[in-house]
Amino acid sequence: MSSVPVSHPARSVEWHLPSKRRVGMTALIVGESAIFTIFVVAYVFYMGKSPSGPTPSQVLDVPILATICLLSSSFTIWRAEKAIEDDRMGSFTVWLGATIALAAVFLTNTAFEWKKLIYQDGLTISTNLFGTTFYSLVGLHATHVVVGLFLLTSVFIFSLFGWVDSRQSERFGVVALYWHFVDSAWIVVFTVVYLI
Amino acid sequence: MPASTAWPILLAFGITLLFASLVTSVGVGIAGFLLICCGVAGWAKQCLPEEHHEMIPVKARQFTPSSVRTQVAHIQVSEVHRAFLPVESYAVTSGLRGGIAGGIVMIFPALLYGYLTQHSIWYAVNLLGGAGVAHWTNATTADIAAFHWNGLIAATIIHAAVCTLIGLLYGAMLPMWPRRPILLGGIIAPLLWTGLLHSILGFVNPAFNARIAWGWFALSEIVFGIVAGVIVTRSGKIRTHQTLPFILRMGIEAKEFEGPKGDGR
Repeated sequence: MSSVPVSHPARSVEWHLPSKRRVGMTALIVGESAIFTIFVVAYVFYMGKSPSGPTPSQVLDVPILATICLLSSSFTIWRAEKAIEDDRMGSFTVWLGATIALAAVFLTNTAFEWKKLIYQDGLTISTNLFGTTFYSLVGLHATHVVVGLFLLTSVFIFSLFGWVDSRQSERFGVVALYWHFVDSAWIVVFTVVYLI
Repeated sequence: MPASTAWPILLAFGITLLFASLVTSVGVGIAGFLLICCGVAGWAKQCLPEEHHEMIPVKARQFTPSSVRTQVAHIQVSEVHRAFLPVESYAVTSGLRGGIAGGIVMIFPALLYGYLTQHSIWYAVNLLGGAGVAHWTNATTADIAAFHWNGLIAATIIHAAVCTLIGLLYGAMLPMWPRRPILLGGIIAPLLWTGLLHSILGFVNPAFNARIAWGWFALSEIVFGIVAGVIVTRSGKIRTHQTLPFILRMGIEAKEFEGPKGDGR
């Protein structure tokens, strides 16, 4: 066996190690996407197979306001990202507060929707297959919104104490990445549950 | 050095309590939530706006490597040569021949199984061939024990193809374990093959899986392996040279090809 020495070509672009925070969050998002896929497939698989009511068309109203609020929060958190990168902390706090408010509106809307479904329409998680898959899928997403809201609120409080500045822009970018994932997941959940 | 911190442990404990409250009580959840808030606040206080550090004095230590061995033995070989181990192995074609021979011999325990259990030598043939015949669904035992041309043809094709492929695989694996071909082919490979089939046959062919006798199946596989191993052992070894042309490694004699002139140890 013979070998021929070859010279290594000079690199034109300097390579940097990927951010471990972003890699970690990306791995989390991939895993969470798999979980969401399972719940979405379960919902679609059992769609229309409940032997008894109520059915989705009888009890579900399309949550337009909540959806607008949640999707808008992706814009506000993006503005917050830009603000912290430019060290405009006043603007950052305002955009972050707007994001929290929009997320809170979404969760409040979900809470009222569930209250109506449970107490008026009599749909619980054990009523029929629709109830089981609906509360599992929407509840999974709402859990992610709660976790995201907790993270955003924590950062908001830290910023009020003056603990956050542009040096934490990459860390906040990771939180924003999670929030964008939560928004993207809602597009899928919304389409499957309320539109199909 | 980054300052040590216990806050992440508190946070993790709080998350654990919060999820445990799903199956215990609200009070556990409230305690978990409070611990989470404390953990996040305490951890953030150590990281924001700057991470806490602590100074650790570094003590320089003098280290002199030493060894009780005073002599080194050098390999007396030219540096331009490389050693190929093992020096000799079986040719790939010996595995192929072993697979064909083993495939022929293993037919007899299979036929014996059919004759002893169902009084028909065609039972085992149809069990194997039924996998390739689409309309054989929900066949009765009498159907399977009877002679069928399509079952015989399908079984012959399946058996010949599988035995040839396993023989080739066997020949390709021999250089990795050249000393005990009968142990590899006669015991280890059949056991692995039987175990693999036992775990997947229920999904692949449920009807076959319901009727198969695993003891007889393993016996046939062991007969196959032993015969293949004996054939390989008697085939003789060739020198192991990964740089040899494929024709020579196959065991085909060709004058125009010569091996490398090195000290193959």
